[in-house]
Amino acid sequence: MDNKKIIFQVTKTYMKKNRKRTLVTFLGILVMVMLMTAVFVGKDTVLDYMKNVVEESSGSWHYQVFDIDKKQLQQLKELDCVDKCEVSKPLGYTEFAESGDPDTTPFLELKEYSNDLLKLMNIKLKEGRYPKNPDEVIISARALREGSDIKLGDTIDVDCFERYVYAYTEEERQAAIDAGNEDCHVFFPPNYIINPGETKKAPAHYQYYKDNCLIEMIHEPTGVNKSLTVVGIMEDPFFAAPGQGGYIAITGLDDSVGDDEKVNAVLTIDVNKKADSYGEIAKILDTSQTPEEREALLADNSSYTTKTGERIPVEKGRIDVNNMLLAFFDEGQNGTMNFIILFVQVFFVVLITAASLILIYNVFSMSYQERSKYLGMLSSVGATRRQKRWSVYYEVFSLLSLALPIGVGLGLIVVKGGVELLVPHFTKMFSTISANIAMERSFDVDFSVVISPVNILLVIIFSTLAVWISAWIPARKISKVGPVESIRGNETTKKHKKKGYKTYLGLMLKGKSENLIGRASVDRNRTATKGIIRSITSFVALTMIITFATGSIGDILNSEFGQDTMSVGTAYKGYKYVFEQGGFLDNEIYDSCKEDIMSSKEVTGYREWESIGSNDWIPLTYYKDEYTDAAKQVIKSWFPNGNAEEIQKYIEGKGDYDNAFINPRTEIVILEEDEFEKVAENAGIDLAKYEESETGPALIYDSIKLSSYDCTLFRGGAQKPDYSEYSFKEPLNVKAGDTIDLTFRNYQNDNEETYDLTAPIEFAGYIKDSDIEEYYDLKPDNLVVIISEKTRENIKQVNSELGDILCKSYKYLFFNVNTDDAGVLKKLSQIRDELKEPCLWPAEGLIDRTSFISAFTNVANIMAVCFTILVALICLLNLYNSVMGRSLARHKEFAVLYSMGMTGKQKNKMLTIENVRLLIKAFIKSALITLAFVICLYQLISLRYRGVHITIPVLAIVVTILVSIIGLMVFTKVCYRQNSNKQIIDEIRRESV
Amino acid sequence: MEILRCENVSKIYGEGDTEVRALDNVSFTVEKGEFVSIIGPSGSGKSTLLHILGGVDKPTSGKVFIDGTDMHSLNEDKLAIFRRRQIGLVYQFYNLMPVLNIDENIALPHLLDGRPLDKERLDQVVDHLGLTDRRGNLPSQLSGGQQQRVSIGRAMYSHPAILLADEPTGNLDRKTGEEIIDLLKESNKINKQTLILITHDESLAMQADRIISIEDGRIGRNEKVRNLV
Repeated sequence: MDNKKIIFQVTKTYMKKNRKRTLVTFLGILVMVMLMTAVFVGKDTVLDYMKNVVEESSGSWHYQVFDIDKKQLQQLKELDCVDKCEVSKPLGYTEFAESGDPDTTPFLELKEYSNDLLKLMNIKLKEGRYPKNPDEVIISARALREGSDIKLGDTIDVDCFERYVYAYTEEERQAAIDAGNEDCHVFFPPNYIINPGETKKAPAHYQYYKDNCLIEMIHEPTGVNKSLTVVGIMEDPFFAAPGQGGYIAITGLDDSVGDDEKVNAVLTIDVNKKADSYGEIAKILDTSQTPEEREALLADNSSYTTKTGERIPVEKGRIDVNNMLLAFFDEGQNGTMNFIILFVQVFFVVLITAASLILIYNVFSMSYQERSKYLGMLSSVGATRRQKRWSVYYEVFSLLSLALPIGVGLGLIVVKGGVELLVPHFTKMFSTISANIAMERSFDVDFSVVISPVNILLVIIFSTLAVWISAWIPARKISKVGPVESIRGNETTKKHKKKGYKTYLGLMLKGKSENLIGRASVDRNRTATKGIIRSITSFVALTMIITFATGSIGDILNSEFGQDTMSVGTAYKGYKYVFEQGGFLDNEIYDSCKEDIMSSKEVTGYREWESIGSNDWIPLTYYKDEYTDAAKQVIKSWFPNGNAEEIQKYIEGKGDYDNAFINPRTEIVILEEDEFEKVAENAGIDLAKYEESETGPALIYDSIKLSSYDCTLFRGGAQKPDYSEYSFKEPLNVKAGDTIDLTFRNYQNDNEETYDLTAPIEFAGYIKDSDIEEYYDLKPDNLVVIISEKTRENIKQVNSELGDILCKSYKYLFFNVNTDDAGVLKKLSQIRDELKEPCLWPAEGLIDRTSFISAFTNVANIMAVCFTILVALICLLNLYNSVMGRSLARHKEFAVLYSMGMTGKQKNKMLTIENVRLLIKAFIKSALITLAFVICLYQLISLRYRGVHITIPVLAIVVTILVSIIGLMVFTKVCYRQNSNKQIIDEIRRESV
Repeated sequence: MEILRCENVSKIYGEGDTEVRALDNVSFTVEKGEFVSIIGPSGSGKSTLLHILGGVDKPTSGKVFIDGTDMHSLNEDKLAIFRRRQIGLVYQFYNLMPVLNIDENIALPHLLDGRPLDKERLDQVVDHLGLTDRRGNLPSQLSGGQQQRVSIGRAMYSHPAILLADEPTGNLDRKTGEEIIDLLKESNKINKQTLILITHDESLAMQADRIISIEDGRIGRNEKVRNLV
């Protein structure tokens, strides 16, 4: 047997002898490996799942480029960053005689797709097969749902045309009315502007209008006519718009592109190349030949600023980007998601390593004296330092070799279980996307644990590194143990170099023996207690750090992306259903349904919630200087080179770019009189003095924030700055009783002209969110003005136009019914189905209708809680081990105390006093560490997200403190129970028999 | 006046084949203020006897009366209280509290009894032990002899009825050992404390009033020293 083998043999014996300690070390390493696996594999699994969801929702393409010629197509194909370039040819529309709903959908909207493109666009078959050539077609299942009897094998004769819109002039409109055409509303998508007398290609997926008095639909034949054989029925594609005039139909592709032909290209890029792909594509679409021409195009079109700062004119709608999908590859237009994912990964790996490091280090520190005995003996028979070091390494690496396969296996189970738990949240997270999908489209995304060899290798590397680092210091320390000192075990003697300790005379004079021993044990034997203090400190600090970091991520996301200004208050939480006017139901229909609900005997309770949707604001002149200064800073962040005069112009909304002003928009909340009085009373505001007011008093929510993203300059093409945020309390420069001109923007009936109206309101005071929480859950994104129903009526008296504006609100009627089978519910459901409007909801769905970001934050929170629990587990194991180690080392001490006549009660009191002192010390240390971390984190966040308000996780702090107190008390109880009298007698006997 | 009575005390460890009879029907009495040495070879059961007398171990059978109280009929807490008031223990390896300094170690049994410190008495004891200039030191900062002095100080401070010393000089050099025995004898004489000394050193044992020898767990001799001389 060689020397190393002897060392290993002795270490193995020691490990067997100290089974409990070996088990704790093993568990610590096991949990570490499990967590590492969860981090590495979990990240890929979650990202893969999310990517699949996005692909399911919107296809796996990255860019779509529209209306390109043969040369541009070739250029796109030749781009280095382009991985796949598939062609689609829009064939236009054709009459669809088999339509089951010819009044709203009389056409087929035809496209030619290659086989690969069908996959990229996530076209899913319900029956049949994909088309193989341009004479075969698959049709959207919507056609069948709406009554078409088309079936596989049928032939459709197509005669294709493009649809154009001609907008009537006033005279033509009148003539059309005279000719008996319907006087109706016509809707266009945002950004589609057509002037009277103008003819323009119809918007994509445009709905069908019969002859009417506003527009004429013109069909321009394309010359494509042929017979198509139906070979398949597909689920509605993601791009299908509800209400569009043609059912989507896709044929196989004729891949030849004529010289004058215009096609669309669908691209995927090689994400590993990290190229400025949008810029490269934009350059191909740029047809300008000279700088002047480019400037002219830039003035007319939207533009793209490349990574090098070059601005390229891109016609609106020419490039479509699958931002959600690209975000997973750090290729999207917003890098926040990737930044956060990377941050979370690094953060958790560091934390897990830190927790494990402290655990393993503690195990060896606690057992130093025991080990030094056998190592000293080995040393006395010639063991070298290196051999002694190897005894430590042997122990940890033998445990690691066992923990690795088990830990990886457990980690994979954790990932699988965790993702299954998270899937409902992911579904909610993607509800904003799935909402765009036609109702009948299936949305089934399976997830599978993504196990890549690289990740497993990373787990092994990081685990090994963590274990090696943890063992390195104890190994070095143990290697220095000499034969004599280790056998004598006088390590403690060396520690007490201090001359003497001041007697705790005060405690002695009061006869407080438990306090005396407890205090002395903690303060005079720091070597023995530092393990426990370190364990509690690591538990509290790591938990706090995780909670703080996760909270910060949530705060960043909510600050940067949060959109909801307000939602319903606590009074609405108990309702089961909500009928929503939501801006899409006619007031008449809503009122009629409301009447039905209110008069129904099946309805057991109801409450209406109203949100005003007007374009109103309080002029900047009313704001305090700090707000205006912050507004200037925001403008400056968009235009770093802008001088004071230009910035002032932007502030006043007179800049060169559209909407280039800081948006001081207000939200108006209208409360019933009694509710308004209650809110004022909550805020301590006396309303009596406003009884003579012309319109009435107004309360204002005291918080508002302004961020660099509130500056609506996106269309101007300026470089988007980093996120910065400014928070204000009581932002207006007014005092109670002052009149404020609440300003509204209104539109002239028939053109784009706008004009402003003002309503004088009397400022009564500021309220806090808690004052109004029963009715509204307010957020400080906009300034919120609260008025009463009476004030609305008064404003209507002053100016009827203003009254009309204030009546344009979104209304939600929350109600409960005595049975889920209630007739009133059936009636409302029928109305919902007939109108095809989502006006009836389970109330929970509306209240919890979470945005992508809040769902993302939820997911992050769940993951953080899971990790906190697991990291806390390592820390608690560590604490248990430290308490156990200390209790074992104190057998003799307790033997002495027992023989001196200490009772069990006194022992418990002494241990409690010790624990209190240990906890205080640990809490102070963890507070300092957490504070240092928070300051660093805040500084780091400020580099990218200036001024973001970071919430203090009070609940987490309380829970962590409670868990550490309970943990220490319980572990003390368990571990010191071993100090039973019998063992104590054995301890005394060991030295005296 | 009888201060300690040991009646048919037996102590058996283990069962069956592994059974060890450490004490076998041991009976004797000690008078108040008496100095008794218990001698015997290693493994004879003398330390077991001392632990049973000191109330830190229980006999398998038999009774121990101290000042008329059947010690082992008391419950754990009452026994602990009884121990700290009536018995002072001095061990071979001192068994001081490593985190308490000299003053605190000496006063410990007294403080455990919930009684406030008698500063004057403490000063007297520390002075008497010759440790005045080391009062703030922890046991690990003291020599063996000094630690044993502290141990004796602790046993003396609260005036227990009986002082039990288990090989108090076993870990010390001869000179220091003599000093320690002198201290114990002084306490026996001046404070009228009963002293039971366990030793295997015949010459030390001869300084007692009486010697009880134990062999294989049984009382061998139980005689006054003057009878032996």
